[in-house]
Amino acid sequence: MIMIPTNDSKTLKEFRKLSERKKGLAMAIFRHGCSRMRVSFLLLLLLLLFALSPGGAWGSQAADTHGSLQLVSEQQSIEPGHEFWIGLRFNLEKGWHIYWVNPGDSGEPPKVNWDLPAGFGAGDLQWPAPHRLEHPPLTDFGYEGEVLLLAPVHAPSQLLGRPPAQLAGGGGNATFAADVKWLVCRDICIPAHQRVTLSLAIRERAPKTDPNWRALFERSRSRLPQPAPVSWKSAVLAEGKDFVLSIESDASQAQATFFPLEPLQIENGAPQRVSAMPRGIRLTLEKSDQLLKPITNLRGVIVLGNGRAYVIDAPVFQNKRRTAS
Amino acid sequence: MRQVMRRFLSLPLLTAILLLTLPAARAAQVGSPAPDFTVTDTNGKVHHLSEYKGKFVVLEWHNRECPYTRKHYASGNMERLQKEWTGKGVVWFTVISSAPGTQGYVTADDENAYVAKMNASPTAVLLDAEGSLGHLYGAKTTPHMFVINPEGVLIYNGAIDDKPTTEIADIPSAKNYVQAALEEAMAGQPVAAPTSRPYGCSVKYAH
Repeated sequence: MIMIPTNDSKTLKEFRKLSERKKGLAMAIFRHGCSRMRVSFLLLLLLLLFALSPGGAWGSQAADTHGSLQLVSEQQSIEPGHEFWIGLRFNLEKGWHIYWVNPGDSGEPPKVNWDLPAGFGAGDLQWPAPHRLEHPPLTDFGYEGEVLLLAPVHAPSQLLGRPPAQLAGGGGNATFAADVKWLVCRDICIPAHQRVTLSLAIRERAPKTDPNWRALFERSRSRLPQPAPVSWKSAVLAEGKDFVLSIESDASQAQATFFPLEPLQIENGAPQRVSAMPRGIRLTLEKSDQLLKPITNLRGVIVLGNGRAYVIDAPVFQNKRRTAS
Repeated sequence: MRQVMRRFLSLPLLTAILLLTLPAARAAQVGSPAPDFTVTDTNGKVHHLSEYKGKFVVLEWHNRECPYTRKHYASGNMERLQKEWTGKGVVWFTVISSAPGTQGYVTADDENAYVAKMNASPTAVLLDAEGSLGHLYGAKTTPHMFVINPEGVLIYNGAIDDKPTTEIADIPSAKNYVQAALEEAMAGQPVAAPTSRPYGCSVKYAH
């Protein structure tokens, strides 16, 4: 079990990776209780591996970042003038996670720099509703397993008539690239950086959905937080050490989890007390230790028992009578 | 006599009940008195926070194997801060809450050798392997920084700076919150950024 890093050398990152690799080896040796001779053989092997690596450009990304990253498209070709969805597909090793747009107590969300052919434009990254990741003392918000961060892309209407040179990838193809930086964590974190690309044919006809990714796109889109229905009324009462968030909706709700969009407003790790109301739901959220001033609005995403997620922006009222100093 | 006894007993009892009902996580809150502690350092010396009334005290949660901590040590940033502020009379405690068998756990001798090697100059390194100091302050990450003023009031709780990365290259352009808090408080001004989200590796507490 030797971990193989990929990118640029001489950074602290690299240094860290090296030491992790050494540790991995040490652990492997320890576990197998090898003889001294076998230990030196393994060390020799490791040295050889170092020596043979061409300028720090090592192989397989997967072993290094504890998962894989791909740039995928929902459809198999591009129709000029139409919008379509692409996404960053992370497939994480068991036990490892990446972060939501508000990562919670620690971590940072993936950052992407698009490199698109001329005329194409990508919208903001869309984040499916996250999960609570409890790694005491930290409570983070993020994703495990397979996750797709989506982005809508608009194809310009003039595409086929253009000289091939204007389309990266040439000919009847368009090539999209994304420089992605992310942090992948278990009890330790590893910063990762990868450039991923995707090439799609340009066709003057309605595109077909890629059967490989159809289900993933549909599932991920269904977890994207929607604007709260206009009929909903939400408000927060600041009471002592708590924020009591009430959401009046069309039906009683028994289950919900609130994910704050701003850091340092609620205590991420505190249990959320939920009570169903005849029409709606009430959540008691503990204020953050680090919140020193009253806030005017509590913004976040609420995920209901049925998995649907809504964006909440609730005005905060101070309960003067019961607010402790 | 019995009456007197009862009255005498009830006050500490009440206090104890009150203390027990306060959520532990809220113990260290900016603007409130920093909780007192008794912890032994790597030279066997016992430190009580209450001994340092009249001085600024910095608490720095540390794990030398954590890449975020390493960013600030490999660059010399943390050592520079320690040297500058202990030079100005600040008491600087590096705190290690890694439990035995977890990342960053060290013995006293090992840590003393490390401090010498890094040319670091904390006032002392406090060994908190059972995590009680860490839990008392709600330390979540390494680094996680706290600043206490000469009156014993917590005036800063948060990150070391505003660039939550492992990149040394980010240090020169980062705003160092600890530096700012100490400068402002020493100049008699309120601390402009008294809290921030700490960043780094999780503190490796015993579970």
